[in-house]
Amino acid sequence: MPHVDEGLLHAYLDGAFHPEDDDARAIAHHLGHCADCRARLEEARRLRDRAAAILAAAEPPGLDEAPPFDELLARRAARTAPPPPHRRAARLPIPLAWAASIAFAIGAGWWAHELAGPAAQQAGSATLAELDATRAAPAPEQARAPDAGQKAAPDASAAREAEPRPRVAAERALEATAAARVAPPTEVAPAEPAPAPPIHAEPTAPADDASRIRQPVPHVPGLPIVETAVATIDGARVIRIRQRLEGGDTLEIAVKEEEIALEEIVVAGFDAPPAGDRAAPAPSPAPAAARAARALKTTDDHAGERRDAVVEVPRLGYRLTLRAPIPADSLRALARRIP
Amino acid sequence: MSVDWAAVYRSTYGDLVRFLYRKVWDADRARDLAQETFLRALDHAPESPRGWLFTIAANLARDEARGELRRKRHLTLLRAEAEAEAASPPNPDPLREIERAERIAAARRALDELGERDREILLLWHAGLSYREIAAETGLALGAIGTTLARARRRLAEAHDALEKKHAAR
Repeated sequence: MPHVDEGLLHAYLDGAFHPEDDDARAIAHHLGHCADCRARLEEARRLRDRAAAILAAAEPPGLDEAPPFDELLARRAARTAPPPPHRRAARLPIPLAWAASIAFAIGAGWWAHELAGPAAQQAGSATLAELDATRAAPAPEQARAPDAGQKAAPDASAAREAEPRPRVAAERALEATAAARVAPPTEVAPAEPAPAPPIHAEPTAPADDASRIRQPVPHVPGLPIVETAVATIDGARVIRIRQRLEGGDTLEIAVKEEEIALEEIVVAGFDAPPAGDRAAPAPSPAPAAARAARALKTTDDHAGERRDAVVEVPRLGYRLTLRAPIPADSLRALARRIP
Repeated sequence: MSVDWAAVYRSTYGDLVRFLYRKVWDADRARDLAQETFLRALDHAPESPRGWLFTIAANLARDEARGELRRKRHLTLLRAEAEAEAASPPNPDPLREIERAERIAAARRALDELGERDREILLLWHAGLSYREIAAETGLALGAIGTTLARARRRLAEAHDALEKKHAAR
């Protein structure tokens, strides 16, 4: 028998032949005598495993959790009734409403970030505006991105449906403001900023965008930025900044936008300067340190992989995660340098 | 001949939704299409339920892709798929999530380098269909499937390597 053709090798590997099949026997026999073909079989195996690994890595977790079969039967039963005229529009409100509440949280978060510590506006600092400029336009149905309300704006009915949630979020924020009144009134002031994005953010036209995109992306000043990337994960935007440390290692920072936890709003009421001082050029170091002390949480990276330290810093409206192959204390020190 | 669809659903749902995900690259849409596939299948009793499901799924994904083409946008940045909120831990490490997003984006771009038929056959194989089932579903000769898979796997691996190199060089 001549050498085994590559397609046959793959078919053989994939169990396409019954072992008693003549072709399978002939291949097995040839492989027993031909070191070349055995090597090629191993090469084919390597290729097959590599392709499988690439594909296996490419899926979100929990994808294959099947809803109960009964649900399917219920849906079929529902089909016997005439279908609603706009199935797709009817399905949209939930993610949209969710996106709208997130959009609000981000607006407040980025605004408060500016209040709490106006970061250096030095040249070369990455801004959200720059990142946004390079960001691919999301498709309408990927409506969970923070700007989803805007993208989905043409669908007026869905947008209308999406309105109630942000109000709820706004109410929550107002409750938080009320809670913060235990502090002296001047320190509560940031809850009612003059030119800041409106609390009642319109989901269809995120007014927060205009102010948000001028904000610098949090990073350690003075370290070269190697790369920035933006992803939308769970409907929240995550920005990753890679910076080069002096030793040549890479520091990774993730900035993940989050809904604001109540107590974080209250604490920010103490940290942030009064509204009248919004233009104050430098943040006082004390609030930053207090914030860091309050917020820093160090965890070991998953065992088995690189021995990286990971530090999490929750801030108002977003969460910083830092990772680098350096001691945790050094990483915490770096985290404190982020304005 | 009747089909125990409940059993087929249990054994096939995962493979089917994964197959669909790698066609539409959106977890929620893949789930929707998987449900739709089963809904369309329930009232039938095909000889090979599994193969039949994948045929329906491939057609649905193709229709979906046609709609997608109309609003085609180029992907310059990675985008993760929104996951079911319930399925994800409350505070997952965003750096890891972004890495997963990159893996997904890389696999997607590598798959895009394949010819349509090669990609289809690779995904069907990866979804657990046998050579015989693939041949039945695609009309490709049984003897050609190994060759097609060999080519698809090589191209996928090469495209993926090239992307990694490009990424590392940045």
